[in-house]
Amino acid sequence: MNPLIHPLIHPLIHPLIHPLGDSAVIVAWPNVSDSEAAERMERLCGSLRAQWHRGYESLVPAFASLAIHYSPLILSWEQISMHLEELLAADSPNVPRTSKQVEIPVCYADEFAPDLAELAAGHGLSVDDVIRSHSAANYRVRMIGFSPGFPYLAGLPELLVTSRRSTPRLKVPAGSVAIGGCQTGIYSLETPGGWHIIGRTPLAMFRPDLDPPCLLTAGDEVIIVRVSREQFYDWPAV
Amino acid sequence: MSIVRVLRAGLSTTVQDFGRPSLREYGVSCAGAMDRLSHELANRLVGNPAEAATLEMTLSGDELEWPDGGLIAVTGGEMSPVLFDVDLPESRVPLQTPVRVPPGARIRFGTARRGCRSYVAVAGGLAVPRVMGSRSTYLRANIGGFQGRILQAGDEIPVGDSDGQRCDLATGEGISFGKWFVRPLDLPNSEDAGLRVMRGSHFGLLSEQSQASIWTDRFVVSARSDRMGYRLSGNALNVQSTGDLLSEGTAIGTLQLPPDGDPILLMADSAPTGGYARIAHVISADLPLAAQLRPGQQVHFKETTLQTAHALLRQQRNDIEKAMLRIRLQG
Repeated sequence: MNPLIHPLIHPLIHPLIHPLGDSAVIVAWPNVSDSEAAERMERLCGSLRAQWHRGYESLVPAFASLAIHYSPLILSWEQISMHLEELLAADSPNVPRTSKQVEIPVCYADEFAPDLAELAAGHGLSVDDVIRSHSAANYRVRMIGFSPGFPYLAGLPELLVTSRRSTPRLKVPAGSVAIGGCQTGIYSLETPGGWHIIGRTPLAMFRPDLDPPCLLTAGDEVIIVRVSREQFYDWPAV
Repeated sequence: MSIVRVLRAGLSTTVQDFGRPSLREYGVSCAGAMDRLSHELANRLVGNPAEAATLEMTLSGDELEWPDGGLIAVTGGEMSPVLFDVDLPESRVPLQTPVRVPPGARIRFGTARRGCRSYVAVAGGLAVPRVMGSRSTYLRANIGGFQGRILQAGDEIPVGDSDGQRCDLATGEGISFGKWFVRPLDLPNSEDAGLRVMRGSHFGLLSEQSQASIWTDRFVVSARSDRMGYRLSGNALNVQSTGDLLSEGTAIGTLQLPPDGDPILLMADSAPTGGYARIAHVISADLPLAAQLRPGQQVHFKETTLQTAHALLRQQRNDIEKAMLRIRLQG
């Protein structure tokens, strides 16, 4: 391998800082691996929260980028890009993570899993293989999006990667646990959706009456706990 | 506590304030008034703080009743509001100025003659409960505003207490209003509206021809346009190749390009992230103008820079503050 294009010393390893319109900026790591970009993004997110400037409005962590929304009446582009450069220069993999670990109960019973049998058959697996594999993996929240509180989880076992349904459903019940491509996610509201539904959680992902209004945040680790139909229905409402 | 009663509902009227911009990381849309300038102006005209909740009417307004009377102001799109009463001749409700309406007053808003969105502020502000820190209606999640939805006939919206400012206007049988008004926002020209934009990160993914035609083509705001975004139709823009774009943050004003080539202008209720190519961004100073565009209207894009966009926003803010100073002097 030519050492000059090795990702660790590639000159473009530096993140790109781009305006996202006139009131936001996006920092992206296009030249590192997905998981490395996620780590760097989470660390930048953490340092921004620790050194919050008046005029910052919100952060939007995504797969390999971080959007920072600001008020241009309070902060200039120069102030923001200088602050970002400083934080990025001080970045080190030793910065401790601040994310949390969350257990999510999931019931894989037929009534909650309309696509489970077909998905298993498509991969030449038994339904139980799929459930065991899906519930044993360690997941990491990469982004909250699509609808309020919907977590995009990385860490889906390779053997369960399934391209999206050709025709999306018009209504997917809230709490549905689904597979879309190499990710798994949890529908937070009843919305249309094109992912394969394989289970349901009794937990509310979006809870507008609480602060914060979502159970999960980008960076959180998720552990799935398989529960029975009975446990699902008996799950205490929060 | 007094109320505003909806006698007949307009096309799509919601309660709005400045929304929930701090909750984007949770996938929560900002929501809030589409035309923030007109919203703010209406509030300041009746002595409310800029962020008090107002009614946002879209294209066609409501018939409203003020059982206890009140001090109101109407700004934004022109819906020809009239005060009507079986016993009295109808009288026009002036725009851009505070208006005192007597107890039992009924006001009928018509179809927008110019612009698209009209704002009605009431002294004391609309006192619907705050959800996640805001009184804005968030239609996708059915929360906030008045029961999380578009207003319907029979709704009674609570009004907060006012500190009695601007009581210089006489109370009596009819309406009373000042002899002055604040210059409104320049509503979009019905022929063709120009929006100033900055290039987006993915502008370079447009084909060479589209990189040129985006500045000369005219686009039409399609009927598939709402508070989430406007579909703009025209000669389809082509992207060379988007590869596999990952979902990333978007902003209000972002011009996204889905594969069919018709750009989408993201507006107040848009999701905070998206996976389409971001070809351009309408500058913040032009978002109030964008909010007043209506389906069928033509738009074109003019390129500007980040520095100019910031300067224009500061200038717009200065103009507003000057207008506010005049309001205080008049009051």
